[in-house]
Amino acid sequence: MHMLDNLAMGFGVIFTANNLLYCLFGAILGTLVGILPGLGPAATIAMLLPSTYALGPQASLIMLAGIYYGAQYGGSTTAILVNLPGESSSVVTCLDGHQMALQGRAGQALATAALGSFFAGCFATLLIAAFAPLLSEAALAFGPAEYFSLILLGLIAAVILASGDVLKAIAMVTLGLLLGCVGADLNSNAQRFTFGLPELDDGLDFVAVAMGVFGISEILVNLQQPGGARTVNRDSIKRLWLSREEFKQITWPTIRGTLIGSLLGILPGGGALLGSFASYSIEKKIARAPSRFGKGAIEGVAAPESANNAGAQTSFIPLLTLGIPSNAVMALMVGALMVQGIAPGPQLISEQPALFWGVIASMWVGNAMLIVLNLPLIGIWIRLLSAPYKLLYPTILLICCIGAYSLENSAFSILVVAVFGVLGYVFYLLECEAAPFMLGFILGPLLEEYLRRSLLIARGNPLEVVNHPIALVFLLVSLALVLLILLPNFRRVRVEAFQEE
Amino acid sequence: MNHRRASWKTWLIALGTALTLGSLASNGQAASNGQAAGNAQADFPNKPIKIIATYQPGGTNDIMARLAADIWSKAFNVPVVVENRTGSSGNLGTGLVAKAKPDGYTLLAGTFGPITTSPTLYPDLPYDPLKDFAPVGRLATVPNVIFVNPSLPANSLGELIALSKRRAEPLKFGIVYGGTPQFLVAKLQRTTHLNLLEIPYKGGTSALNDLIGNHLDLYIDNLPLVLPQIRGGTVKALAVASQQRSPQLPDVPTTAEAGYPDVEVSAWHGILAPAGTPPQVIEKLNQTLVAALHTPEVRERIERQGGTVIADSPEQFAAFIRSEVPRWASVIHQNNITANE
Amino acid sequence: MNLASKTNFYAGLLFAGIGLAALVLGRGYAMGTAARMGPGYFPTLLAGLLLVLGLVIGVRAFWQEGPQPRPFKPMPLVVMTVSVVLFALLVDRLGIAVATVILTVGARLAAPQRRWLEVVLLALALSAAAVVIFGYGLGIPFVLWPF
Repeated sequence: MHMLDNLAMGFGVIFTANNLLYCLFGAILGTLVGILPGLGPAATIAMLLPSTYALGPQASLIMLAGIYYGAQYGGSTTAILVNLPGESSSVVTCLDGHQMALQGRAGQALATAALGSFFAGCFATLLIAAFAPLLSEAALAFGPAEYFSLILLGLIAAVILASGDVLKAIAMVTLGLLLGCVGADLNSNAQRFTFGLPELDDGLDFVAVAMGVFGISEILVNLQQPGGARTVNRDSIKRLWLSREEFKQITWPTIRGTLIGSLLGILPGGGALLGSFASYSIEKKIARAPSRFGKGAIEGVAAPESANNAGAQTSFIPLLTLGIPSNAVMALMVGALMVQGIAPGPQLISEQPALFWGVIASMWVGNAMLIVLNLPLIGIWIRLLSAPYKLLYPTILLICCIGAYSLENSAFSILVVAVFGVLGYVFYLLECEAAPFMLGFILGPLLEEYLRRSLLIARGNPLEVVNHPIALVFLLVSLALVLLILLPNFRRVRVEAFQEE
Repeated sequence: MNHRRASWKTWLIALGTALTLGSLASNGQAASNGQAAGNAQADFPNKPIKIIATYQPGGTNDIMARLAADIWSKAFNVPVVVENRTGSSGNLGTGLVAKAKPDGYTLLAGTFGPITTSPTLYPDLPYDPLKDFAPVGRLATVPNVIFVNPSLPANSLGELIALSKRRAEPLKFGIVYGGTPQFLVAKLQRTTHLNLLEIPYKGGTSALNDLIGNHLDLYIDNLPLVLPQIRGGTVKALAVASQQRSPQLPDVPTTAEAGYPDVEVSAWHGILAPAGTPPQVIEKLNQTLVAALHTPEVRERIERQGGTVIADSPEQFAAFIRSEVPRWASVIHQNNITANE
Repeated sequence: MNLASKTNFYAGLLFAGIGLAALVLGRGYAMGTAARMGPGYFPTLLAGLLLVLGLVIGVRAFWQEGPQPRPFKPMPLVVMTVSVVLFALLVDRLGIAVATVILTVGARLAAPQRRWLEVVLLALALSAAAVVIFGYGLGIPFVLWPF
């Protein structure tokens, strides 16, 4: 088979001492920067890019790819342990992962995340190897109208994500969208809600907002408890590994998450962002007892974690097959190739087969390295978690502040963290859920951009959407979801499901 | 006790990686920490040189800065590092160099936007490109390409204009504000009265993606970004907006050949020093740069990406900037172009 | 007032307040048309929606049962926020070493039960770690020391 020959060539490239070393280095470094919130893969790759000049194209791309998917592994660790999402895809992992940690099941949560990510990584690698050109062709069918309706569907699904009041969840999504408007407007460069602060020109930084809303407010909530102590202690941690029962529980969510994440990851216009949210919502929708979600459901970790790693992997497809980067990290990889004198384009596969298949094989090897690296680390993380909270929380606070500083090397982002810490605490007091808010905030700018672009193309006529069948289907599904959510009938079912527990 | 050993190992791994990272990053800092030399001219350079690039790593501006760094570090045998100071459409990094010590150790990788159009577009710009810089020399220019989706029934600029006249609906045109393509299309529209629906994009790659997916009809961008797509057949080049055909695209006519000699805007990349830098230092930098740009390897490196080597003298570069700033001021006023990001 | 859910009432008030504030702040932004939306179109739409949702949530709280207020102690909130803000304002002036000490001591003040020796030791340890790992190690361009 042709594909097997190619993969064999790819493994020939990766199994050289030099390339293996850079793959390992990238994976370790990625894990570390993923764990530290603030210093994300994009900043790290930007920092290392100049030094890749001497490495040659294969080694440098293998290392940079390792940093990228290593960061996905590391990001979930912080999300589970201390409720700090360092990447937009980890927001959902916080919901159930951190709850599991509080219940003394951090080991299982981390193991689920690692295993799910590994499975997703392997599957996505095979998918890229077999169908990359075909998939990128399909992704091109997505224009502004299609992206707009897909993102709208994602936002409506976010309401399902919430475990409480539907109306409040909708209000939170709206509030997130509104805050996503902060900054210079794309089309006119008009300043919106910037209060004359030049630091807000590019909008509020996701990481700073997430650190405030999740991390800081979590500390504040914990300090409310008597003695400032938290419920985790050594005794409540019974096992680190998954039971047979838990393995069964995560099997299907992992497979479904992988599929959803892989497919959405292919869309360069922001699909990868949606993967973890979408897979979580679906798991919750089809679960027999949806009320367990948000309270430490292991499926709520398995699905989004596999989706986000699968998406991280398949978001390489537009880059490798068309030369089009789908996010900031991919854009830096284009830069890394350009520095080497290789301009990635549609002919990359035929002109640089060793590079293309070598990178793909390295993804599999890198994922294997990551799981070997991460599973033994679980024990160490658990011990860190059982450190006295009075030592732990000032450390978390410091890491948040330094992480925020490192975003732009400016103290301004720390102030953003402080403001959103207060806001996150107010959300807690008023029982408004932060996850729909974060999703609105992440997707807001994209939603507006695609809405404006598609209406510009349609000359302001929303009915033009009938010429876009994919978009039409998404809009109809969105509408059906809205009806389902709002119909009082359905409400009663929700309440009943709630009482099942 | 098992605990303790395991956590020590984690810290060791963390520290090891941190130090590796740190040593890589501190390369950049070594340059800025260097002490000022007393007698600059004679023994220049005797410490690391820093070149500020005003855009992200991996873009043409950054690649050109690294090319110059490579040339000088080999010629002078001192480290030459590139620092990417992005923001404010490139004006931030440009302003930093304008205020730097004029000793030749802090240089700017200058481009079209911050040097030629920013003074007109941004009234409170923190520098004056005509007064605050001592030009060293230009490395290369990069032409723009006018291209369409392959399914569009037009195979030349003339056919495109005819098509636009025939069609009732305008051509969907992707635009990224701020760069040379924005000014090129303004000229194109003035001379040809193309009926365009301008659709704004944040970055060239998403516009390129939408053109390949046939959600846009027409797009203009710098040749290096588009070259692989043209070769791969995912887009169709109609014209190169420059005086001569690009050696990379010998079959694609220029705008002048298509009958529109005025429709020409090229991005250029050059090195500038802060005003007041000793002329001997500028001369030395320029001579080594020009000599290297004339070698076949460097020429090949630039041309493979779609650029054209310029290698001019400090005087020629200064004259070029002096003529460009007022020229673009009038283009901006005539076309009512405002400071879009 | 006879509220079925105080929490939801206040939540409604918060949403409506933010919506209203955004409408007022954004009143100068050009609206444009549906075909050519100005910078004000989308935010105004959202702010209006948020205002309406907030009002509905607030009014509904008069009769629909919902959560009752959670216990709220203002001290930790105030002390923590002040120490983070202080860190932000001082880090570029006094350097990361001193700012970390201030942050840590401030954070520990937010919780009851503190032994001063322990607080001082933690502050010094974190300060040293910040300087070594983030300053020297990762090369984040901090001001390290106040001198």
